[in-house]
Amino acid sequence: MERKIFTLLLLIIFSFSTAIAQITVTGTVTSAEDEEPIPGVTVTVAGTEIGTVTDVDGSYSIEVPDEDAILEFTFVGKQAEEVIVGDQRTIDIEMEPDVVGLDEVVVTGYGVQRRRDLTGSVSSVRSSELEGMPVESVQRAIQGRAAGVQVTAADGVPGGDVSVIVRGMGSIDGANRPIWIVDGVEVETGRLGYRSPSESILASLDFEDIESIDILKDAAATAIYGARGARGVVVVETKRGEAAEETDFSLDLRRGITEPLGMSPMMDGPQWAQWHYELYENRYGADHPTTQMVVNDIGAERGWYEVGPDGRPDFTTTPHYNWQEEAFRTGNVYEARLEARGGDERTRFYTSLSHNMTEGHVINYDFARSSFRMNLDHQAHERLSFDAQVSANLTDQSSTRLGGAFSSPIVAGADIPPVEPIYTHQAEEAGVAHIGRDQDGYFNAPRSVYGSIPSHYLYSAKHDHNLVRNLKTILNLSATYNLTENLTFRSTFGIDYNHTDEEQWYDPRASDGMGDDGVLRDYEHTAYAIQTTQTLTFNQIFGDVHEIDGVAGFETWERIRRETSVRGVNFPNPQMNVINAAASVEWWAGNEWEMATMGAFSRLNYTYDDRYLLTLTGRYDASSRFGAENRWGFFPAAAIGWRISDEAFMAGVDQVDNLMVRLSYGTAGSDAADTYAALGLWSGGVSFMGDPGIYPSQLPNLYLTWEESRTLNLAINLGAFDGRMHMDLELFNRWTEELLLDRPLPHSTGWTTMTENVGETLNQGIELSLNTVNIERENFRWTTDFNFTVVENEILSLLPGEEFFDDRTKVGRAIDDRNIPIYAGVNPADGRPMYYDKDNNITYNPVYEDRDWRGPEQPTRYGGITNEFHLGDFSASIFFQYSGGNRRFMNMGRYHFCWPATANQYERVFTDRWQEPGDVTEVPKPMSANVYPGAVRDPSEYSTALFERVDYIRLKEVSFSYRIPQTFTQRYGLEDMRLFLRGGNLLTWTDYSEADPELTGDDFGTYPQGRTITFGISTDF
Amino acid sequence: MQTNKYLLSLILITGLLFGATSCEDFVERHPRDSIADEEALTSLEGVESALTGLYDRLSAGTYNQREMNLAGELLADQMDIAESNAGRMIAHPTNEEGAGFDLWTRLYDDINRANMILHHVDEIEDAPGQEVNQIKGETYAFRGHLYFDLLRVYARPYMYQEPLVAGEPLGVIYKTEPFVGIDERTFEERGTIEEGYNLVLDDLYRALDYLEGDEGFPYGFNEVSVKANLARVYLYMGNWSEAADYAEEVIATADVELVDAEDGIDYIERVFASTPGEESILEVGFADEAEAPFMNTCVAGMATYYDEEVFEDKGIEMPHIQTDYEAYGDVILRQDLINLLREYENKGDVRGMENQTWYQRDKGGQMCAFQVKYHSHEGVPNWDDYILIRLTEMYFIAAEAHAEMGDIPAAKDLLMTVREHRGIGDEEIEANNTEDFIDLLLTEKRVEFFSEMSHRWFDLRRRGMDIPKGVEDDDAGTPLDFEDYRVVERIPEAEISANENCVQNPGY
Repeated sequence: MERKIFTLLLLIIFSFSTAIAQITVTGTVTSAEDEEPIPGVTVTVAGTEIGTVTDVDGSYSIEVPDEDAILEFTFVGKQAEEVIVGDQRTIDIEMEPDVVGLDEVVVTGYGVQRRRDLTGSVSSVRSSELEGMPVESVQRAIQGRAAGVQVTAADGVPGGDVSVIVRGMGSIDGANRPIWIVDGVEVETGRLGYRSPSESILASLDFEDIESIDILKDAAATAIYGARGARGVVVVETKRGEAAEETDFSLDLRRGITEPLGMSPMMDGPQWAQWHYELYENRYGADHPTTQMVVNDIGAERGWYEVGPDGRPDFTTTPHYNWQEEAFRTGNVYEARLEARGGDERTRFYTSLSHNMTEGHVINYDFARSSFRMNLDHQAHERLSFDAQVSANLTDQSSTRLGGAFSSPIVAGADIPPVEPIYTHQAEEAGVAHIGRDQDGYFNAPRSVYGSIPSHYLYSAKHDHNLVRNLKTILNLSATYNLTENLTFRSTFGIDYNHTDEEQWYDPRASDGMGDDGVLRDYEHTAYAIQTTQTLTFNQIFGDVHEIDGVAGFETWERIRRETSVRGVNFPNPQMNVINAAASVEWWAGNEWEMATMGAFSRLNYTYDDRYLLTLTGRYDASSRFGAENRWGFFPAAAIGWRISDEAFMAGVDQVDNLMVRLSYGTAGSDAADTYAALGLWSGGVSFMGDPGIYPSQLPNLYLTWEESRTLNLAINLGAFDGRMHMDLELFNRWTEELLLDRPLPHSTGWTTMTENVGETLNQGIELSLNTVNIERENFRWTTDFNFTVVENEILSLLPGEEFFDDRTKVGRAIDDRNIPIYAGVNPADGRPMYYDKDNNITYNPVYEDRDWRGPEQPTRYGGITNEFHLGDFSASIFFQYSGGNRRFMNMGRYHFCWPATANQYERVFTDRWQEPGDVTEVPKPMSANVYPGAVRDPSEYSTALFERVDYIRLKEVSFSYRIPQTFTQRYGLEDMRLFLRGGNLLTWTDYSEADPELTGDDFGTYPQGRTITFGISTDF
Repeated sequence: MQTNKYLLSLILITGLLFGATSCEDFVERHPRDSIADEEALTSLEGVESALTGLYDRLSAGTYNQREMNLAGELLADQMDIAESNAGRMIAHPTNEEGAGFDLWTRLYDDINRANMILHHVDEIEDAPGQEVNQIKGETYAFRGHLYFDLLRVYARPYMYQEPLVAGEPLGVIYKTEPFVGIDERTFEERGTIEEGYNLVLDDLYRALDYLEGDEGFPYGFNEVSVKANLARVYLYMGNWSEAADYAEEVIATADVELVDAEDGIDYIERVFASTPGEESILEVGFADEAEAPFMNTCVAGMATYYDEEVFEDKGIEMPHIQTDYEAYGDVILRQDLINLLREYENKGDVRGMENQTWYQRDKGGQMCAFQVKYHSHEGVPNWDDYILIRLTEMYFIAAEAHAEMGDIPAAKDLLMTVREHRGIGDEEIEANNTEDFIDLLLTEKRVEFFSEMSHRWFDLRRRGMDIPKGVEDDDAGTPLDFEDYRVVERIPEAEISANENCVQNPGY
């Protein structure tokens, strides 16, 4: 370590002894379209931090070190220009409009590169695509925008968890999500809390602060992140200030409404009453005493129907009470955002303040976010600059208990038979007995379902609460020093501080808190990470054709997480609902976890004549999670590129601007083991007759090490027709080895499992993205962005000698597959449910061996297409999203498909039910308790009857915007004003029978996504 | 100059950030609620707290409470599951395959801990020999106790181990060294029953070598409780003279006497409710509510069901019972046992008296009988010491051993001593030969020990008797033949699938 610093010192001192001659260059920058001067163009000397911006007249003046210096001119919406100074002292530039961002800058790990020079695989999303997206989290905002990046969620909870997976899952037990780097600092992404049904700490970021998101996908791009790069890296850069005469302000005001995208299609009252009656009629016969008892003592007694003179129920008299609708409401979104940017040549700033308030479309679900950011750049002197980013983000999420409890609005709303009155006045009007009435005399308790316990989800929703508050603060400070014109030293110090505060209250008046006279759970979590990064960046051109640039650096990162929690019960009064008011504190807990990584890394890019490109990357990394024997590891990668379009033989092909083939291979790791996974541990917290004791809690594994991914990537980039078309085609294979798996041990060892590195998976995929400018006229412009990804994964090996791990995991199958009984529909002769056995014959009672593999559950193909139209001051954009190739198990459906107890069912269970011989259907004959003649498996049990394909195409977003003519706005001192209207999740095409095909994972009691309409005004002044 | 100022501060900051720690230290992180293996057992305090951690396991509900106290009672003819229940242990009363004692995983975890303690205790430097001996003695006694429980559940009884199928007799897996981890790839096979009992005796005798006196009595292992264990083990082995000797030595030396029960409530109070119980040889206790087991794992939670009305209506005062505590009340007495208890109650035996050792109440429309031996303590549900060995058992062991050796008068004396303390001292024993006496003794043990340590199941099993399932017309089930495979517990599938050397018990 000391030696490294010494070397650095020498370098720095050495650089001082060189005297530098300065040349002054001046000029004017104009627009090629209208030849008007462009103020605010950034002019920099390539490879250095020397820079300036043009003034209102488009003029600039800059000192360059020598005649080899290259001046770079960049401006949003214009193609960047580069000019070698040579003997010129006045350089005037005409900037061409940027067509599809061929020359945009991509932020790769620890540096930037022009997109055309990339040798690794990087998908990018720019601020223009994020602006005004009618979603509340950054992960949802990038859905469908980037090839190879799959964004899915288990629910639509505002501020909820959203899964971002780069090029498919690779790990079985470990993590599959990428790390996120915000302004150079790795940040916390998951959740710290436990009680919210769905939560993501990333949702606290205001994504409109983001300038660019670059998602690093192959090893050539991610190896520089070493032991954390295997699952991809999301590199986020926030907006920066620009020097200008006047400070630019921008104010956005938005107002939206949201409605649930769909509800489970359930029976109405008359359908349910008839289905319920048929359960008994089919099993016992109409005149059987049991059926008569059900009709007279239950159905008629409870007001489900009147009984006709023939002793049969009259379903035309059946009421319908829509319990499901009561769970939903029209949600509201309010958003206000103010940003300001400006500064002078030495100091520039960007600041923003925003507030988002979302009232969810399910009762009790709300989300609010307040976000503040200040980004500052300061040129201390010609060689030294500082930049600082400060952001504080506060979120407040309110929800109800997750499904599984009858106090969940989603579960109970769908479950309760629609013949039961919801409110007391309804019960009184219907003249049926009712129980359970709160102080306001308002709610009826559905007695037939829950016995005498006044469990009523509206009642719980009224009294219980479930709150999560997050504070996320990202602070970082960097200093950049130009040691020589070719060598830059940069030092970054960053802190990511996260605090989560949870409060779950079960009121003594409602069902969940009744037994304990009120239950309060309080959790406090903090997680903070400290990162330091030192880099040296180098850039040199030799003899006009050899260009070398590179970066070398050293990084440390440590994270400390703390947690305390307490549960109190027995509250004297429901209004006193803090721990201090609890008569007894039932349990409390507290712990702390630490982890650290450090690594040295380097990347070298060599370009010969702009035609042949070579990148070598390596990182030597250590993680505290692993065993002393295997703590350090080396992750190398190499990539080559060949720009065919610059070859002499392509000289005649004018249509092609850029054609490059590139190939990369390398490794990256994933250290997603438990924090202390390698250590043999004895834990405390036990006692015997008052003496504290310890017990062995974990076996040591000194050899434990990271999961390692090797990626082979082949890509073709094509730019053609004067920048009007750009295509990227990528093919990849990613092998993930040394999987962290829990190997079962014989229990006679005293242990049940041990985490080991065994097994291998393979991901194979194709990614295509195509950006075109279809029409470009003076007043009209139509562009299309298309991306499509196919990615499949397969388990190559598991534990030595084992083909099968569990019903989700088998060699030769996908990582998230399912071994499941195969449903064969209904016997047309008698309405009994049938299954296939392992030989594909019909059976009524399949055994375990009859199961078959029918996954996977993660999409294997997905994509998006966006068309944008600009006509004068109007513009419109239409975004379709596609996903498919997977199935989803409708866990919630198990209670709604022939469930043998009193609960509402899917409408198709009534409409499609088998009624007479010859009926060909999926839905069996209604039968009380599912007692069919012979040994017949209960159709509500786990099978493919509820495992459906979820391919869909969705009209994800449509937006219209109108720019109010400047002649009008400028009269009021405004620079610009735009109005827009956006719709989200407007239309869906799918065969999936549940409410929303987009969600993945367990659907039990999940909050549906919303259909949103947002109106907004955006003003610049 | 200006430049140098900036540069200097930059270098200083950078240097401060990195000079402070070395690389290897920076990535060396340890938890704060745990200690690393290599540090945990290097001091006497460390080993002592590991032993305390082991004792905590003895008190766990799923070992001695629910499993040892109730599982065997349900498998035999003592207890049943109420019609209205929470779904636990419902397959036990009909001896369905897989319903039985769930102890394999738990006991091997404990054995591994004992092995770790024994492995490390000799490596401690400068430890006083006496304290090391105490730890070793208790740990050996502990391990012997654990292996004995494993053997009497997962292997055929010692006295009836002649093979019924090829490959028998199968004992269990014997491990006396800790599991070393990733380098251990092949696993041990099952030894013989003979080896197992030798290991148990060996551990208990070693414990006797190290232990002195009755430190901690009746909590934990000491000379007295190890000898009581030896009496039990020899009884299971049919070594009658050793069994009688050790049982009588415990009777003579233990600092407890049989409770003289004039009054029924007093009997329950003194033998079971007081801490420690007045007849206890080996007892497990709890310091506070936090240590008490969960309701679904303890006898109090599973086998009682009471509320204020029941006791008020009956005019019973039971100060030690938390009367507003709603336990599961799933495990109830079989009609056959109730009949037997009534028989003793009618003679004036305190052990059979309704509303003293047991009571009845309605549960979901069924009139159920519940035990009262285990309930609550000082008003805290589930918190109740329980007893692994109590003095009366020594009388029964000695009586059975003397009878087997042909000394019926000595056997009668011992049993009569028990009877005198239970209120039927005037009830003469009519049996005059070994067979009749043993029959009587086993029946009386049902009354003495119901809901305690599954004595009935293990008695029938070790003596090679069929398992009756209650009286006709009431709760008669099909008796379980002694040679039925279900008499020997199934080894968990997780062991069989991960250890190719481990053979499953026949029949499963």
